[in-house]
Amino acid sequence: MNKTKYVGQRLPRTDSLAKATGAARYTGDIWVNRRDILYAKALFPPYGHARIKSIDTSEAEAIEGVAAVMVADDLPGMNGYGGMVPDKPVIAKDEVLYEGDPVALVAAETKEIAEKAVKLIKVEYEPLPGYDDPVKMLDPSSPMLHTDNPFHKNHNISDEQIIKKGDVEKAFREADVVIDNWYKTPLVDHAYMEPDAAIAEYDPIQGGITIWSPQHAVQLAKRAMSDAFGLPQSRIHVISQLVGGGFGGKEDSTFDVSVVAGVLSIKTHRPVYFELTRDEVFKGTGKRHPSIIHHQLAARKDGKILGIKVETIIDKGAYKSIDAIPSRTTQYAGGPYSIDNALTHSWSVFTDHPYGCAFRGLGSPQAHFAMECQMDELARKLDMDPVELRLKNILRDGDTTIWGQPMMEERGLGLEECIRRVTSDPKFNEPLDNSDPRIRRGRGIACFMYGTGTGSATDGAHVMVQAQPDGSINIGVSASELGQGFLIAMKQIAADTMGVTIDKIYLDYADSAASLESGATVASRTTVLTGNAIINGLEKLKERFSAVAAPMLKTGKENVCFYQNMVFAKGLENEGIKLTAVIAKAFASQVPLGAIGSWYPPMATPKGDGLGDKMHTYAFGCEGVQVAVDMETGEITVEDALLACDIGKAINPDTLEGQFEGGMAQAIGWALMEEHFMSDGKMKNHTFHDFLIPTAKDIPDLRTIIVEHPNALGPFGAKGAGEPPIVPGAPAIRNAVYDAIGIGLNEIPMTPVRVMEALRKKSAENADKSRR
Amino acid sequence: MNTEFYRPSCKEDAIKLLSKYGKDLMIVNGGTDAVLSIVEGKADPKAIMHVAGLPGFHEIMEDGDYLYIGGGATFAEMQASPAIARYKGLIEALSHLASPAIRTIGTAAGNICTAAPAADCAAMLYALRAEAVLESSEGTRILPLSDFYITTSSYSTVIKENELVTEIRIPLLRKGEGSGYCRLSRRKAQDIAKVIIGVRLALENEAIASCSVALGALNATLVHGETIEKAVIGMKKEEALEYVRSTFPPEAKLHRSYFTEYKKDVVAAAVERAFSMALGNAEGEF
Repeated sequence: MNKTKYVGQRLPRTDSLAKATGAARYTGDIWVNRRDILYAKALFPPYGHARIKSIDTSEAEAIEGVAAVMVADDLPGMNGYGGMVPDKPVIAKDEVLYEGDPVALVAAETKEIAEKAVKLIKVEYEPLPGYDDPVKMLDPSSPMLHTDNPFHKNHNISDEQIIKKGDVEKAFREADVVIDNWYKTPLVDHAYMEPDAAIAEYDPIQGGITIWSPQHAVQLAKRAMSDAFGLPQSRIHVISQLVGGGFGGKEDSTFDVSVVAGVLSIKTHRPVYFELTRDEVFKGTGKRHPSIIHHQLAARKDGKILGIKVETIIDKGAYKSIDAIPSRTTQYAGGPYSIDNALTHSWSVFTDHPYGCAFRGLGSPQAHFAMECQMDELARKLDMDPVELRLKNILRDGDTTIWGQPMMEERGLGLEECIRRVTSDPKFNEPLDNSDPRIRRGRGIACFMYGTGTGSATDGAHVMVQAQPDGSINIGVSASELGQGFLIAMKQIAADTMGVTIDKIYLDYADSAASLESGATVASRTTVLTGNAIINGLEKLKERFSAVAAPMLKTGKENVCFYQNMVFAKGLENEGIKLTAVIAKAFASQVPLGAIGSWYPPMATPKGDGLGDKMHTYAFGCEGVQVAVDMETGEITVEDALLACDIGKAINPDTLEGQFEGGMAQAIGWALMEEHFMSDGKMKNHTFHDFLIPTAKDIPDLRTIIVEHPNALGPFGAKGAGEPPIVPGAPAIRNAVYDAIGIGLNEIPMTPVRVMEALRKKSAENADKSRR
Repeated sequence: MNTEFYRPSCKEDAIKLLSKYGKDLMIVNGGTDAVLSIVEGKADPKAIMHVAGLPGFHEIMEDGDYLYIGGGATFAEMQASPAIARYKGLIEALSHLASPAIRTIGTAAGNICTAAPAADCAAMLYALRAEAVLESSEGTRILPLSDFYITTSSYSTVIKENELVTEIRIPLLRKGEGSGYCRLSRRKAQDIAKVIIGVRLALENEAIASCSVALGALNATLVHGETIEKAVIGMKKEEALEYVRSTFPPEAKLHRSYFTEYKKDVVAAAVERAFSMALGNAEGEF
């Protein structure tokens, strides 16, 4: 490996300036500037669950400027698409299962004509009962939501996962204390700024189609929509424009708009633009899965956790989408602790709600919320310091997780350092001002772990690298720039690997035709997996160029070094030659200038009972929070938040801190205010007026600590960092509120309504006690 | 589709347009409510009249017994006006209203005309016993805000289709008088309040001599908390605070909603906080 010049530096993101000035172009900007493009609208049902009795599109079709009206029978291919299985209809045929099922589509010359036409489509519905409760739907005697879907045969269960380790019953028999509680987390929207949008353009030359849309996964998109288009996967070309916020949601909500624009383009042979209104985004696109968790924890009186039994029921919504939540909630049900006996069991259950999809943390925030609340409950029960209790149980070198994976320091195990740095922070230890009886202050912490990558056998990344004769380098990579700073991080890794100045690195990114499969830009996996694939590709080039350069430098090829666009023999930095001279020689000597770089993590190894290695490395962290609770109004103010997170190696500390702060802020929203209310399959709050996300005034000065315990398999030691920062926030806030008011709230968001309800209940209990 | 757009250059022209179009004309001041209703398809006016540019419409000044707020004065202009600085309750209400961007364009006149039950500025004006000056081709009439709203339903006023709110006037705060405001909401900014309390009161010999309480976001319209207004007369500071802390104002007729129990729990505390601010304001330097 060369000397590093860029990795670890605070370099500005390549996209910041263009985004700040408005020069950056999003999907909607392309539509605005194209003259030949049709505008699409979908007709969505006014019900959460209904039978379609008849559809009359004649009036809509009669309007001048309408290019196409489509119902289910007009589709070019199979009526289904999806990220994991094609179970979601492009256009609902007989029945709508949630408010986001389109019933008919229109493409017209202008937006106004499309809006007018879609209103003229007449649909007769027979309303059906709305299925809102996943607990009831899990009961085998409940009615089935999917009565005729080839992908769903297991009653209302979309997925079910179990981890069994050790002898749980024995652990509970031998325990000194058992902590037994229920927890509940809400249905929430990603609230990305850019609503979902797509342009589809039919390709008359080879009979293919090109899709432009904000995407997490341009290669996955080809597979997800090929059946619906009736086209081989090879003929689908997907380009992700800049993504105006995704947070996991655009991994497959983007398919909802892409598939509509696509079938209309195939029908009309015209380019088609389709965008959702904010109302349609709220009602129709994927959400964070709500969960109901029954958590039982058995411990010895010295605080050692002996076992856990956890049941998690997940509201799947109407379609499968990305359904890794049972897997992740069983995996993380025991938090970052060494527990010998575990039985964790999760179900994702169909309802008439928006489908649950990927959302930063993918089930881990739900699981950790319950576990980290349980840790504070246990600490109280045993009258132990919650920090000491955690330090007693955390995973250390040689321990195994509840899924039986041994933990290794060489893959980065920095949890203890995270806990110690947060809890020894001077500000976190200042005396609390509790002089005003109306305002109660408290502090809490929460810990977590989060795996890098999907933990599945298919995880891997492949890139194309090519040196140009002028010494610049192209890297074709399918990952997307979501605002996370992936471009600058890849440039830093590539420039240091190749020994060139960073301006020489150019990424051909997020275009399925200019890249290979490198997996979705999700699962906190891109820096590590794609970064390693880039290193692998560039090392191949360097090996070839070393062989070419060795005779030029009169040295052995093993002694050839690359640094800052120069090539030299080891120790002879001042007698180097330019990299361009080496490339020119290679070009003239039948040495290819391009290569494919690949990287796979160690194979995930399922061993039955949910046991076996999953992700190859894990980020760890601890967040400490100080809150003030207004005892008269129920208002919670987060006054201080400090996150220490071990991410192996900070490739770019600036973008990393951006991820930390973004996750912490998003966690405050989840903990305190975000929540969709559903009734009869219909969303009650579908505007930013009543679905609240935090404003700048709701967020304290967010403090962060980067902890680096290197991952021996990561690029320069890195682990995944995108999702981890959201995980500890909610339980840390809840535990701080517990400290402040002496009440453990087990349902989030902890709104003023719920806080006042809890205070009311407690004061009634106290009154009751004093009467007796 | 073919909406006419007018930007009259004087009040007289504006009033003529109102006479001509009547209910088919939509008055747009800041437009923060009006544009929304058009975009949402709730309004489809034949004509739109933009009045924010009328001469003198942004003036805020004291004259005789009143503080006058021009029909086009924005919330931000009010926040910055020295004439309003000692109306602590009003400043507090304005500083929590919507967002800084909205405050630079939204107006007090628009706020009272929209007649939302949870309008911060309107609720405080209601407590301050403000009056709306309405002009039309038939002349001028002045209505206290308590007569301005139709109390049986939200978003409705007695304003006639040919009338324009040209001014809002507030009886001047005299020495010994103060105002206070408290709002409770689900987040710290840009959120419609769930409880709004506005208070205006006068102290004489350390006792409350007069009092006006506005309750917002609790009924279909803004209402006066008459029970409290009467009960606190003659009370000294601590006694009054003790009283309001333990009194749920009976005029707040909470309809059944997700927030009913919560509002029952928190209204008295909000009243106390508004009173506390008003008392401080009354005792402060004049």
